[in-house]
Amino acid sequence: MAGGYIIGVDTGGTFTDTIILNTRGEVHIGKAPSTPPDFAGGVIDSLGEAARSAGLPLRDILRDCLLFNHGSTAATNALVTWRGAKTGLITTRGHKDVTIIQRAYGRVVGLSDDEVRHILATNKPRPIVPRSLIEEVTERVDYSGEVLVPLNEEEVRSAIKRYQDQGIEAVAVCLLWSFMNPQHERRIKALLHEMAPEIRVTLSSELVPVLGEFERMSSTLANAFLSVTVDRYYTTLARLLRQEGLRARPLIVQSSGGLLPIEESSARAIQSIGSGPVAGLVGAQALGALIGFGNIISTDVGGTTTDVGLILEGKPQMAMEPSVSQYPLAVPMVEVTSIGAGGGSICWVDDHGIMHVGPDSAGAVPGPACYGKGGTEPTVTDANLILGYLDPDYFLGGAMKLDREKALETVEQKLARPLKISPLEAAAGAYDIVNGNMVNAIRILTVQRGHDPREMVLFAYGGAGPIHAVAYGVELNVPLIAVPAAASIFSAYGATRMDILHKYELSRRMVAPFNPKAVTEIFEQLESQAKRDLEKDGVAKSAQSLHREVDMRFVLQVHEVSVPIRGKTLVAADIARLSTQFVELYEKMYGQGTALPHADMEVVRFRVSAVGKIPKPPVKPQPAGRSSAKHAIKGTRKVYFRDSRRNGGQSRAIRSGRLIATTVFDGLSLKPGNRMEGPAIVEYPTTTVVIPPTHVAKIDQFMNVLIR
Amino acid sequence: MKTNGKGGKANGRRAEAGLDAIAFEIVKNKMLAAINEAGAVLVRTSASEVVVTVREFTQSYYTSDGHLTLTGGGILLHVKSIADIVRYLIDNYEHTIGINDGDMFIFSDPYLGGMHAPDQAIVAPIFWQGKRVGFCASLTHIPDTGAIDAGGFCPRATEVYQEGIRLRGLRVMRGGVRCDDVFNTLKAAVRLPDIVELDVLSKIASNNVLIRRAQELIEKYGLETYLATNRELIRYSERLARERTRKIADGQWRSVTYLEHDGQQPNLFRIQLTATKRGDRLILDYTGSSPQAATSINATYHAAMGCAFAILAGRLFYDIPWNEGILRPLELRLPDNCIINAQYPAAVSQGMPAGGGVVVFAVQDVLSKMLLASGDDLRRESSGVFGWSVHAPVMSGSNQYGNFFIWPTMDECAGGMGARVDRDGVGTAGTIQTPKVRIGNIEEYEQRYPMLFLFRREEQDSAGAGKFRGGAGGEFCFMLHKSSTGYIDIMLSGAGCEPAIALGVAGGLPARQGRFVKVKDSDAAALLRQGRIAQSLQELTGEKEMLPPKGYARIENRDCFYLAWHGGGGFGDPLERGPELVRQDIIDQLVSRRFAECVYGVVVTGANADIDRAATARAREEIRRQRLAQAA
Amino acid sequence: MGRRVLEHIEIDKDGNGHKVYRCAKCGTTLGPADKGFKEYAVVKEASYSHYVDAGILATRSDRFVLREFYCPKCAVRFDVESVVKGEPYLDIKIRDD
Ligand SMILES: [Zn+2]
Repeated sequence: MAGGYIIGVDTGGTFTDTIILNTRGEVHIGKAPSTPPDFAGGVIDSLGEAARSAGLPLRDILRDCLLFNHGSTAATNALVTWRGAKTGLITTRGHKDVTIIQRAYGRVVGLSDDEVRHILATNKPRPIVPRSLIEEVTERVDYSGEVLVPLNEEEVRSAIKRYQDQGIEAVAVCLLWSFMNPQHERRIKALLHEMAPEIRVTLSSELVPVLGEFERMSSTLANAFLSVTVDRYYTTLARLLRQEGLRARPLIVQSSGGLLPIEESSARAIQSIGSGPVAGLVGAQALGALIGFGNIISTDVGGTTTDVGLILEGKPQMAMEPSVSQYPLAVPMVEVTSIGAGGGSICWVDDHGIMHVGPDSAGAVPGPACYGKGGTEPTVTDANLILGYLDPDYFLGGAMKLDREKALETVEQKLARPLKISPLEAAAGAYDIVNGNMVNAIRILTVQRGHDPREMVLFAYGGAGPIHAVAYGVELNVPLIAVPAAASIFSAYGATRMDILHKYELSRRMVAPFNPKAVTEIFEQLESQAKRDLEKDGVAKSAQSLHREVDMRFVLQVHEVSVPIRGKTLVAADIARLSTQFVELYEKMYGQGTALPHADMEVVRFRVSAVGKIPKPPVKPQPAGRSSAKHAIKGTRKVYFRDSRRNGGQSRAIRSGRLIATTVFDGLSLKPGNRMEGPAIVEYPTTTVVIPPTHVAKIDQFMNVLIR
Repeated sequence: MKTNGKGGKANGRRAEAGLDAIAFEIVKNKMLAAINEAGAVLVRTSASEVVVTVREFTQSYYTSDGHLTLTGGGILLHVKSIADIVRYLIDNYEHTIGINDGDMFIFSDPYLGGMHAPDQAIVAPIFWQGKRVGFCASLTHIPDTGAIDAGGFCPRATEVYQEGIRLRGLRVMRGGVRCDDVFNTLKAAVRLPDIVELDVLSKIASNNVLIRRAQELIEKYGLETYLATNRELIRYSERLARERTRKIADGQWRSVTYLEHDGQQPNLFRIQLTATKRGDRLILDYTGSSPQAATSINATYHAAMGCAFAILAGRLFYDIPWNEGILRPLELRLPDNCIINAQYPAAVSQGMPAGGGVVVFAVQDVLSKMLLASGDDLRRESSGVFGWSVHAPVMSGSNQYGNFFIWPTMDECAGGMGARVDRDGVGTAGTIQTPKVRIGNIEEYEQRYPMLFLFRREEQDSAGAGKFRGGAGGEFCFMLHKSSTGYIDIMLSGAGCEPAIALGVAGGLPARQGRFVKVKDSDAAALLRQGRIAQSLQELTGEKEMLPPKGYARIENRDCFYLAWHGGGGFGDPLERGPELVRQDIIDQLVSRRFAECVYGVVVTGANADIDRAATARAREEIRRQRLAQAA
Repeated sequence: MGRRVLEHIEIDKDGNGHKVYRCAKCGTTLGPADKGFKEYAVVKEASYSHYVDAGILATRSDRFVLREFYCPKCAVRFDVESVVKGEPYLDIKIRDD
């Protein structure tokens, strides 16, 4: 990696973050407001900020950029705000209700246990395509892939005409058994291209060629819905970056935890769902590995949402049954839970005199009242300003002045007066409530699944995370809270720690004894595609690695166990080993004696993961120095703290609190080994760490803030 | 602390001495996490579709003397009765064959617990340092019992002896080692030995998880905390359940639900339920219900109790930990020799779905009315009855690969939700008793069985009408495809084919009945060859035979089989429904124009279904006039 | 405001302090609360077969009836019973003290 830059950019709902790393290990960061719904402008702004901090023209940096890795909320945002394409769905005659019936469980997809149990309050998600826009065409393929009824092209043509009349922009095509025989889907695509080239098409047999029409159709539909928006974004972004001088091909963070080139990401829009938060989680994994933690609760508090993820034994947790907004998605996804709580979350009082925070957000525009950009609702950021956690003159390193008077005024008017308390108490209440919301989200992932937070470390990042981390960490009883050095741009950092990852899957049923030749052939077919793609991605042979896997089960089971396969051309002995390996893995998962070695086994799915290792910027530890942090003291100010017991999070009663004279440290002046006792505030240009009187913080050799 | 029904405050934090609130919360949540984890293991290792897809399984924890402390996840019908099984185990085996560490015991006797012989439970003691500290159990519905009919639902059975092997606590694991004698005996008794064996193993795997997690908890939090949490859990739920019950209006409600056809004759049975609510007590009295039948549609006491538990848990106590405590406010009065309290050796294999299933409807019906008469927060929990047709045809025969299969078809579990007081019910929504129920993908069915599905969809006009309508039910139709023998057999086991059982509330209409139809000598295959896929019964030639709700049918090569399952009941008077909502239902193809006019008095015109306001006003006025006129 | 019994039925006191049923929709007093409210409603009863044409029910039956209860004044439907012909009214008794 001779001379050149590695750039990570993460677009969140409120801010777009950039990290620029060079081969000497130097780091420059930039932050700019996101620009929804067309996020590309914010990316360029953010890059500009980082270039400015590096003191170089952006054009020079982009020209010498080796890798440009990007995580973006574009897909997630389009889904959540329902800004997808006007979408149609073509399916097999007799089966247009697949995404309406949703196998009956669409009602509970992704819900917590508590939500599931209140059955009368559950609903199916809003359909992406209403029944009146679903087109059935006459055609039928059976389980073996045999065509029973040829495709009625006349029906397809008239369906396309109706779609044109209705202004449909994207069409999902999902026919029964198309993963066994894709010819009808391909023909429909050809007809769409011929008659309506303006309509974007997603074929289920190309996106997710796996058994199970509901999950396949749901994924195909979500992809079609997002395809236009996401493609428009990536196309614009690629063009802008080229104009600014970028020569490298941008790589996009995928929900699988890997990267894909931007063109390919356009065709697989659903894989960019949650792309930013996943990058953050990969960053947490990398940082955890560096500083010696394998079990991590990672929390990313942004402007509009807080994303929570888990690393267990050094690995990000993959979702068992991936879904988003109650739509099942049959693609591999790192599990990240999002809640509507962030710096921009609006605080409000209901008719019963109860204060709530979120889920509505003031976003970047107009933003919190204290931004002075026309925001009239009190937000968490306003509360943090009133409580003294934020310095009005040092927000974004002073780049943006905060208006404390405006914050006080809205908090007084919208919260304090209706509640008949002081603005300070109202702000403290808002702070407690938002922290409580975060605790609940984390508990669902940890305590409710039997993972004890007391045995995990809490990573807090995102611009607003370190302000709240100790407060919610205390309630969770975590022994250590870590604020990464790159906290405010951590997802951007994470994006620079990833590799290219393609996954190829094929559903094919084979009953043991397996034919080694047939198995080899399927893998070779998947791998030739994988190699082509990695080559297209520009991955050198030496950096390529392919991993084979089959999903196996006992005949008639429904769920499978994934069994890795080594070796290229498989022979009888490899195949025999496969069965033994399956039984071993099975018993490891489910207990000694639970397998049934004499029963028939089958393979139902073949999978190849193709990894293209990409270079990572170096991270060098710095020697620890003195513990005194006196040199970094900027001053003192009055900061509000609850009179909290150290481990006593359970009481919900309003607790007393007061303003305490608190030392403020300049984060950029701190050195490894420095130690700060609470109450203390550590200010970085893009984030602020709040250390209550009960806690002590230390700077480690990678400049992370570790709080106990 | 003695609660004795008087209960404390609902904050539930007041626990027994030495048990702090945080430890209680964590241990409780960890037990629930273990239950979910064990459920995932069952789903992933079982070979029965009823388990994997339809989620007919339970896992739960019990105290050392056999009281249910926590359950969740799968199906709610059986959990209460497993406590009775655990107590049977203790009473009969503790001092005889012994209950030792690493032992597991297998049960499948509906007169001890469960609903019918296919409900197979494996109970395991949990030991800590040589001392028994509790029990856990896993139950699944197995695909065959060796009964006179494949699948274990037996319309022709007249005694329980014909309904398959009944196990009363054979030791299937001894000191952690599997007992091959038991496995071999069981496998010799059933039609699908490998699948049944896998299902036994999957429950052993599930129990292993429950035991391991409990031991980890004890190791970490101490035995005393674990035991105290288990005891406190029941009292905690009881306090909250009594508090909730107290909020319901005091009064008495009566409901009559019907069960048609006993498997041999179209006899009619009635289940009369009188619900009396006083203070924190709820009495469900079935006096007046029909005597037990000569055939297998009877339910045992356990089935009747389990159905009541499921509905109360899902609809009234949804936010309270599910255990024995929530049943403490309840008194169940069942007359002897009654259709839902059959006496040994009556046949009971269809008691769930049939007899017991009807209890599910009856309890919902009275509960919804009770809640409507209560305060606003409880009124919101009222709804039309959920459509769940207990409509399970069990198909068997030879599949396209020449292997014998048994498929209990459970698509009716995608019944419509009853209408809510402020919203329509969800269409093809699932059931109360199995909160996470699923139906299979058509591709899964077609891969396993010799069938080709012409259609599966929500059925138009199937939901109960009302100010808010129920959710739609569904329908499917298949033809045989690549059958290796040219036929399959169907054992029918349904209710609600004649009486409408998904009732409305407060003037809402019931959902229409479910149906089984056989199309004899149809032209479905010939149509396919001509490039057409029949989309309704009308499009098929051939004799259409309405099959009885219970009995037998054979589907041969040219035949088709059609099934329609229930939508949910409606809420309130349909004339109070906004015409815009009716129009949207027409656009969404949920309601036909004719239905809209006749039932809602809403008239639409043209391709856009524009509302004809004047005609709508006239139609509604005419309906009101007829309502009052006809009575005279 | 009276005490709700069903969505459109409530128990209230009349001018003399006697408990009476009222239609919650139109306010009409139906009669003294010492009997079931259904005694005061307009009742329409017809066999299932009658409901098949409109599509409300799918299967004919002559032994089953739907029994509908209406407000005699405003014709709002209070309740619907689905019973075998001859089944006594399914009563609701609210204890109101
Ligand atoms: Zn009236």
